[in-house]
Amino acid sequence: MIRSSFAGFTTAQLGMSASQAALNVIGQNISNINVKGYTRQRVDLSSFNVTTGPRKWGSVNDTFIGNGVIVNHIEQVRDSYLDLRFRTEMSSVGYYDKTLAALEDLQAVLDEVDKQGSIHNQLEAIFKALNEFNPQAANNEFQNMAKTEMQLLTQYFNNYANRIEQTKNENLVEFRDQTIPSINHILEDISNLNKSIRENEIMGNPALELRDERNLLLDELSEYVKIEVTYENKYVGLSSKVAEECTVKLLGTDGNGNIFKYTLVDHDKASQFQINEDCSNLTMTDVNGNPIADIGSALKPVAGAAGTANGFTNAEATAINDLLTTIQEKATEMKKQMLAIHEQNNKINAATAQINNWSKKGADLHKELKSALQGRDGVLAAIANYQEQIDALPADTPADDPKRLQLEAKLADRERVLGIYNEKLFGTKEAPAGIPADKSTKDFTDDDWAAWTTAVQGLDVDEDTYKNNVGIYQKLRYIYGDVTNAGTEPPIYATEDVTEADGTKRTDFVSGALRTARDDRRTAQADLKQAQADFRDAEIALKEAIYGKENADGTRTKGLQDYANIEVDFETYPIDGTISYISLPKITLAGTSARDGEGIPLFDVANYTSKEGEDIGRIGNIAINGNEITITDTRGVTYNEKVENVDGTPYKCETDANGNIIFNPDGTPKLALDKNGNTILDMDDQRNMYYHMQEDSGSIKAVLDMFNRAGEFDGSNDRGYDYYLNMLDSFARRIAKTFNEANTQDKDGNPLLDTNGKPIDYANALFGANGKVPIKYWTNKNGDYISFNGKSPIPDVFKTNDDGYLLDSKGEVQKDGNGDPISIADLTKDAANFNNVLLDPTALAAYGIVKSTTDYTDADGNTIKAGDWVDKDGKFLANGDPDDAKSIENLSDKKADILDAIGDGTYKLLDGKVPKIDYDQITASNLTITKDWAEAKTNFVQTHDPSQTPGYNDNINHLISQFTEKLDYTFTQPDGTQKKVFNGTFVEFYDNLGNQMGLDIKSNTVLVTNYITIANDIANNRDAISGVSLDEEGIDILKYQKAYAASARLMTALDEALDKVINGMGVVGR
Amino acid sequence: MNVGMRITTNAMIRRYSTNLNNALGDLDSKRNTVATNRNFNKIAEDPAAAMKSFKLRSNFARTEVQKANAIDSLKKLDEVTSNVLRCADMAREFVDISLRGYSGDSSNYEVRQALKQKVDQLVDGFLQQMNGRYNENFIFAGASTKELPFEKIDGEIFYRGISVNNPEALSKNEVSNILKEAMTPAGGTPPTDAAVSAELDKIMGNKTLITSSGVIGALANTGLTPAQQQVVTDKATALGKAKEEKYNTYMNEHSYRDIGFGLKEENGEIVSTSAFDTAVNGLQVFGHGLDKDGLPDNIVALAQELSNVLGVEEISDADRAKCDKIINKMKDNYNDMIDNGLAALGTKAAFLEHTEDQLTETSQILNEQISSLDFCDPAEAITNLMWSQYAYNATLKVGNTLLSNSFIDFMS
Repeated sequence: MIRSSFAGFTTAQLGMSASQAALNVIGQNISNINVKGYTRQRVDLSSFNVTTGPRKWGSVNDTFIGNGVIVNHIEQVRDSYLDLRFRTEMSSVGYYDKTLAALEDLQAVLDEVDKQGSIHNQLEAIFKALNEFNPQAANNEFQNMAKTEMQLLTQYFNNYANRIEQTKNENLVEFRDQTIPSINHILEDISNLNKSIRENEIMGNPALELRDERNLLLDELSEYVKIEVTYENKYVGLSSKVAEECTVKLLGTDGNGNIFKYTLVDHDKASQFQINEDCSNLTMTDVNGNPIADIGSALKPVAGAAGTANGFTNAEATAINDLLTTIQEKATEMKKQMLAIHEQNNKINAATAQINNWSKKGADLHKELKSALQGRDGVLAAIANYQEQIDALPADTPADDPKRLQLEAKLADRERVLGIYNEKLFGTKEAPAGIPADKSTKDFTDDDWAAWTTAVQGLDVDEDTYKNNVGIYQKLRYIYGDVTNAGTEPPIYATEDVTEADGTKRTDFVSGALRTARDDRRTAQADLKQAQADFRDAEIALKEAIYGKENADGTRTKGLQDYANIEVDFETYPIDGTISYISLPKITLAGTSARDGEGIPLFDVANYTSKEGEDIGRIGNIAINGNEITITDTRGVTYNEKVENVDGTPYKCETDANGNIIFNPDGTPKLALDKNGNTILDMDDQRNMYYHMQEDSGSIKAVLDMFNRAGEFDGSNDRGYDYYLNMLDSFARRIAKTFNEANTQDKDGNPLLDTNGKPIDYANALFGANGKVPIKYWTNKNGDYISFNGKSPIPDVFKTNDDGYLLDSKGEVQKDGNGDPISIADLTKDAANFNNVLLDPTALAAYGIVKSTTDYTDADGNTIKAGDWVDKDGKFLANGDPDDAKSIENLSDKKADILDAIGDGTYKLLDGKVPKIDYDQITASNLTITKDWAEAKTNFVQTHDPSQTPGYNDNINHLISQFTEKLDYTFTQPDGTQKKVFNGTFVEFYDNLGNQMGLDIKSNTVLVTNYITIANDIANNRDAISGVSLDEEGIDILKYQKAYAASARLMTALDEALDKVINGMGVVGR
Repeated sequence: MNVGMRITTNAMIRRYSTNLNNALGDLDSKRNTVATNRNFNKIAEDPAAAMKSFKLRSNFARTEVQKANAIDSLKKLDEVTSNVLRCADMAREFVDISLRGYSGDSSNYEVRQALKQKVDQLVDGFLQQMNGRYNENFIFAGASTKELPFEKIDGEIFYRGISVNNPEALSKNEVSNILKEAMTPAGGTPPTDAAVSAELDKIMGNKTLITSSGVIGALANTGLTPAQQQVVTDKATALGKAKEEKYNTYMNEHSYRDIGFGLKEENGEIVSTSAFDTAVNGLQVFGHGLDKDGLPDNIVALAQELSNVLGVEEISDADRAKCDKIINKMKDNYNDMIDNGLAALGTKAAFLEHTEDQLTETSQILNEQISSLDFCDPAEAITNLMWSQYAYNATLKVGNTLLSNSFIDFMS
């Protein structure tokens, strides 16, 4: 190739601009070295060589020299794998770091290592006070010392519990008001950046700095939740240009614990998180603003008559399923009819082709016939001529006379040719019998033609194949059928009047191929019309199933959209082997979103097949079981909803006093508005994303775990705030119970009585809630009062074991029909076990009902024996049964009377006494000594033996011994029974709690340190690739500066060289 | 880090600041150790040690309380011992001086009176010691602390309401109350005191005590109706039984203190071997009941019996013989009677002293264990601090050179 003289200048100039560009990039790198998240940029240079195609005149000896350098683009140096790893690690860092922070809050409250005033020390102080009280049982000042220490303990409990509660609340507020809004902001920012980056990219700017910003946000987001980021180049409009779209997904789990991806950002659209007041329900709206999997907002409720319940019933579910089935059937029908249309079209085309074919062939044959007849006439004339010439020869002309021979030969030849014509016309050399064989058609009479016609009709015609017919007449008869008159040109064939199915009339040949083809076309046309009509009907039916129909009589036939909010998207699908398409709908539930942020499809044509006989598409299903609605979408994914939550809208609806939705006149639910007049997203109906987050990932999950998990108390793995609060509650209850029981009953659970057999007035509960002693009532599993003979509430006065199960007269746990133990929550007056239950003597003593300790005669003159039951005034109630000691508590048939009297208030509680204490109402935050004890109306019971004198201290020793006793610490389960969380002494319990926390903190510290180390390593690795190194940039400065200078030098050299050529060569150079 | 990994300025700075932060954190924790003198300040720093420390501290606190209990019990026992010793002194003095000086001629009223005065003084002296208190609590009243243990009523010695000589015996007052109740018709007015007193005399005569069977046996002599007699029989039997029960209770009374034997309850009762019984029963120390000769085994009752006999104006032969017998018993056994009580107390005291020593030792050991667990070795802690300081300083120094130069500085 011959280069231009000035090409080198361009090379030098390109070199200079490339170096300059590189220096500019270096400038950008150095100046941004301290910008957080800045990614090192680099010029991408490539050698420039203009290559052309094969050159016709080129020399093989040509040397190809490059044309310099070009700057391709400026790019970032970044490793997306490291981003992925970094973000994965950061989600773990986020989780453990946040957990650790929360645990450290707890540590500030519960850790007593360097605290003087502490629960641990206070327990020891009580132990000490009781020991000092022990020999001084009769001296009030020592009792007061012990009381003061116990009061102090309750204050520690209050303080600890309140501080944990406060910490929890502060964190709740922070999470609600700051964390969730900030994660939502990040999502929005990312989607906005996505948009800007794409717009820039379309304009040709790689938007590197915006990418840095987005990467920073993604890094930040990865601490909150575990994410997956994908980038996809998508075509811009119809051009070949592509631009990047970024998708961010939350890596969560589906209902079965498998990994499930929830779309957080879909290019320029972001989803949003919402959290409820107590941070137990984290919900998400998808990128289109629809709540995730909120079936309630997608189904339409049925307005009940005024005052009756709204609802969504089996009838609606059945209707939806029927409509879906119809849609699928009609879609299949549409496909079938489209195939039929195609088939009939083919038939019509084929028949038309045949008609054309036969018509053309017929026309050709007629031409042939004409020329053949003319030819025959000619031959006949020649034969007649030769015959005349032979006949004109003298009779004596010898047989071998040359002229005679010549004429005979010519005659024979013409006769042979006549045979050929016969063959052409009739298929045989010999003309059929009966025709005027020697007569020219010009001379034919009508009779001749009639004979001719008869001969033609008498020809043997093969009706099966055209080609088997050799004669023109045979062929014509194949095409046109019977010939009625061969004497015309063309011949006349037999015709008849045909009446079509649609009533139109035509005249057509009676038979022949042409007639058959025409008939075929007529049939196909009719079939086509039918298929088209059927197709149309199916399409209409399908649309009616979707949209419903207004009938002429003003009624409405309901379609799918009358039962659910749906989105319908018609798409065309090809019918294989044809050029036809059918348009089929994709139906999705609107106003909600599947958990992946896509729609919830009810009908789709996935795996579309146009094969005949196969159903089109897949349909979903809806089922109602009780008040539980289950929707299965076309993919088999199920979603559940409560019937009462069907409200047709993602927003809160106004409801009447019965909780029924109020409807607008147009039948749509009336939306509730907030104080600013805006609609309110309906949080209750939505799915809780908290349960769809992967374990141990992201700070959001960590915070929610701390808020919502309580270890053994709810069977979860993590010990959150509630675990520690519940533990303190259990502890407070245990202490209250131990001291209260010691002060109100003896070791056998009998009430403490004085020497007169009356309940001791000061032997009451020592600990309560906020100074009061909460009374335990007879309630069911939901905590509702159980009424007895129409009276409620009734305090619990039944005898139970420590686990809360009812006992019978043999002291055995009562069981139901299945052999399961029963608690008070299972008991009603009508229950089978009611007759067997016992009343608790200590509970009865609170009403003054006791067993008499002496024999006497009461005020009503009844003789009372020791062991008989008497009321607070000493009046007779029931006989004790001396033969069966345990049955005494049963009070036999008097049980109902006593419950009645308690229920209607005839029996009143003695001052300061309660039948049974509802320990569930005592918590660490409200534990106090009772008001009566504070006011000295209640006192320590020093002895359980009523006959003993002051100074007896067996009960105090009992309390002291409780400090070394291994006790059970429990919490109440929904059925009212107790579940154990720990067994040990008071101090062991508290030390264990602290230790538990210490171990949790330690293990979390180790984990977070590990993850931070890993994340740091990855960050360093990332920096090693993407960070700016001053050394490197310095070297690059030199490199490109030198390159620039060299290019400039090249230019000078070239200039000099050219100067030589221009100014130094030739004449001037001489 | 990979060999040949590209080192960037910012990576270097970040790594440096991480390291500097670690060094500072380490320095802070070492400084904290030295300043607080504690090995750990949070459970999380060493959960196992913290758990152990809590346990030790709990044990230490308990041991201190138990030690205080032991010392307190010992003090009470000391008080008891000194009171008994005082009784012994008084008894010895009485025997040595008064009885030796007594001519033995009990027929002389004056002589008897002189002795009786001394005996009465002795009885008062005894009662004063026997009703002695420690910390305002009666020390000889068993488990009771506020009930006067010994009391002299009508010349009879009672221990918390029962006669020391005959636990089930009823006093005059008690029999009188029973009679009064029996003689009151249902819904009617009670009888006059004189009427009751007349019947009482028929039953008790000049006796100050009578058993319930004695009362029932004497009913025939009274003018009570059979119905009234039945009431008296029932009530007297019941009261007699109640007194006997009371006696049995007194003899089995305990007042336990926790002195580190693992105070434990079984069936709602303190297991006796798991605690120390501080109850001192005056009956057991000073004796009770009657010997084979019908003389009281209790030292004060014996003295009182002597006083009673001596106080009779016209002394009978039987009384005289009794008087002699008592004097002889006193001479022979008075000191022994007291010493027996003392010996039992001495064993208890020795046991308590031993326990206290043990508790003191335990408490010291615990203290040492707590110290070694909780508190750091200052030399080691300071050395560690110095090392951390050194490391921190070195890190700082490195930081100074970190950003000093780059290639750019050497470019011309």
